[in-house]
Amino acid sequence: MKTTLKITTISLLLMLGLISNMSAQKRKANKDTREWRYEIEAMGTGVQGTYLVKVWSYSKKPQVAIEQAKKNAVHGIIFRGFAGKPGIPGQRALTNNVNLEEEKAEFFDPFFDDGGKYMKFVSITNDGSIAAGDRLKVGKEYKIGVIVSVNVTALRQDLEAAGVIKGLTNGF
Amino acid sequence: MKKILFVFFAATIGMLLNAQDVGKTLSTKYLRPSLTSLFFQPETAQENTILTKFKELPVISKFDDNRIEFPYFNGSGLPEAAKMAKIQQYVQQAANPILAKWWNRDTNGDFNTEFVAKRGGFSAIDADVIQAKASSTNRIEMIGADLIDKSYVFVYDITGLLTMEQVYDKADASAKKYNSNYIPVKRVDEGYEVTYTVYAYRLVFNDSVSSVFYNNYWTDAQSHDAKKVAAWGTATFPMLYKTRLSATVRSAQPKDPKSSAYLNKKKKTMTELLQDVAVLVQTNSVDELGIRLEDFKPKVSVFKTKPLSAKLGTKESLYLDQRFFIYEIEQDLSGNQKKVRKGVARVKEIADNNTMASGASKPSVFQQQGGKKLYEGMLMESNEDRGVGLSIGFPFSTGNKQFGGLNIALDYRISRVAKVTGLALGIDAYVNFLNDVNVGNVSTSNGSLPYAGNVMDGTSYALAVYVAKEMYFTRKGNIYLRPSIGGGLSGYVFSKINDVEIPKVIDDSGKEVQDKNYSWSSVYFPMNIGFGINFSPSICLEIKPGIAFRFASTTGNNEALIQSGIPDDKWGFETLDKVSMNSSTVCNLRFRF
Repeated sequence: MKTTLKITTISLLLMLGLISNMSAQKRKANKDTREWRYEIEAMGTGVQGTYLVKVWSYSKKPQVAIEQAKKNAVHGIIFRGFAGKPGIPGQRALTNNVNLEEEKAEFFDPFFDDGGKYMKFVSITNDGSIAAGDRLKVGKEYKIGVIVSVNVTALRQDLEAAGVIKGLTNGF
Repeated sequence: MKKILFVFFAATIGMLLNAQDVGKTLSTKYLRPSLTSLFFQPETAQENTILTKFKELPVISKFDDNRIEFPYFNGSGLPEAAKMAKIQQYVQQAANPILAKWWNRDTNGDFNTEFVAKRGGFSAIDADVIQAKASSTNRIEMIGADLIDKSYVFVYDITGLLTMEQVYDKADASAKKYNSNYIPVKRVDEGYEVTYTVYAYRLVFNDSVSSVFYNNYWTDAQSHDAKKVAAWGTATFPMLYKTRLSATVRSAQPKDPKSSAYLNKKKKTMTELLQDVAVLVQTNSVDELGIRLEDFKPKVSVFKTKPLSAKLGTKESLYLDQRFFIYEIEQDLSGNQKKVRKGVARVKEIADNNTMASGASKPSVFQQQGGKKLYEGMLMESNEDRGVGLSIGFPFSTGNKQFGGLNIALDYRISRVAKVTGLALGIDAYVNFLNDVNVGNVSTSNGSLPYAGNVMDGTSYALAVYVAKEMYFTRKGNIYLRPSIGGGLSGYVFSKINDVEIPKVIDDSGKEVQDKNYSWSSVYFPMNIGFGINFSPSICLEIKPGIAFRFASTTGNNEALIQSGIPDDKWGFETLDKVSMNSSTVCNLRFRF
């Protein structure tokens, strides 16, 4: 009886430890996103209304970095933009206001929450695998590159409708 | 001296255990190579038969076919340095028709991208297809342009062609040189043995070369340029010498039409055997150069880990038990990348992917055979070995010292031919030494042999051919099971009785030979199960308990042995005239090459 109790307690503590570790990595990943600690590069001209980009995310757990890629992609397109490559044009950020995320926290916090609305505008464009050159160990972390397609047209409309950014025709 | 040796071996083992590669940004994309085969001028009708057949052979499936109509190379009588310079000039001239084939040059001298796009499409992987669907520009055709830089040219030179009779004559002449009492080789086979050298070159079509091509020679139906068409006639492009290989192949069959080799297949004519040489040269050269040339080694990312799988298959000429190394790529703060090996795996099931990628292609399945936990996205690179295993060790427990002493085994993986993973054919040998051993009272039907009450010196041996299968039951594959079964001969060869050398006897031909009464042999069938631990792709430790059935002991004169005395134990003399079973446990260090 006592042995069973000991084993159960230890197992529960281990499980809690694991869950807590994963949660900590997720929180770190979200903090990285807010601090713009990711990279975004052009991969091609997406089909009408979309951008095709590769997002590099960092985490001690590669799976966390893969899941964070979608969030980072949308975040990057709204706040950062990306440079072009030969034959592939770059894109400016949807907003010039670098403080917009804090100013409109009441919109962006739920927007970028896990499972939040950002997921509506982004999809991963691979066959479920990570390309060999897109999984890198950098120090104690992993840097993972994921190619995603972001529906910029729909994203822009949503942000304009929420009054977060001005429309392209505003000011005329 | 011992310290130096120790450091040397430790460093060698360290290198074997943890292979790394340092570089800037590593190339992780596999681009499908293409192949053009060219030939030296044949000097005999037989060589001509081989080359005529070779030119008809389809290119091995892992290559795109870049066959061109091109004259033979005439390099006869040239010294080595001059020959290499002339071959360089010769292949340089071949670059022109090869590029013309890539860019689908028509009779007007115009190029188009049809062929390049088609090859790009065939070479594209699922990720490329899915990305192309999400993109407004089809970049798959651009993969085709990248493939041009992987165009290889092999120039074959047949340097020796002997019939099997000539091979036997040569062997006998060599044996006679060292021993006037040599035994002539048995002339059982007919056919040919051919020695060849192949020179490998790669067409360089990097950015600077391609821009010269586009600027100076590109003309198409929409913008035809007669000057550029004329200029094409003298266009040359760089060809990079990569390596050369010299090897020998043999195409032979038993002479005897009643041989068991003809139970399931027809006896070939000498012309057919000669034509088979072409197939052997093609396969052998590609296999050997596939180990040396980086561009021929398929690479891909780990697709899934349960089971371990990756998107390669028949298109890349995957074969059962083909070895792959799996790496994790590490990047430092300066952006320099290096790959650190994390595991090794072999092909277990091959997917048929010999079509255009669809985005949902089936992957091939691999079995990890050592290393650490693997993850999706790690880099898998082909690292073929020769399929040879060498085991050295000793039995640490045995009921019969005839199966004691030193154990050496050599095996060859036959899984590719037999279509069964982990299957190998091998030879297993034991050697031990007898000193002052009482063999008992041994006789034959003709009377007692002069051993009773005497002590003998000599050697014991056991030699068997066996079949083994390596089996894995854990995900990381650090341990394996290797059951085997075989058959062979074991025996004793005595050199001294009571410390006195056994005199030789004169045989019927007047030669001095060993007295066959002092040479005993038996038939034995060993069965073992090896428990192995993989320390590295090349080194493993195997503990092999097993049993061996021995019977039919005879002298060298084929007289059955009868034991009626009490010999020293643990040498197997007490069961000479019985069917005996011996158990032993052998500890081996096994090396894979």
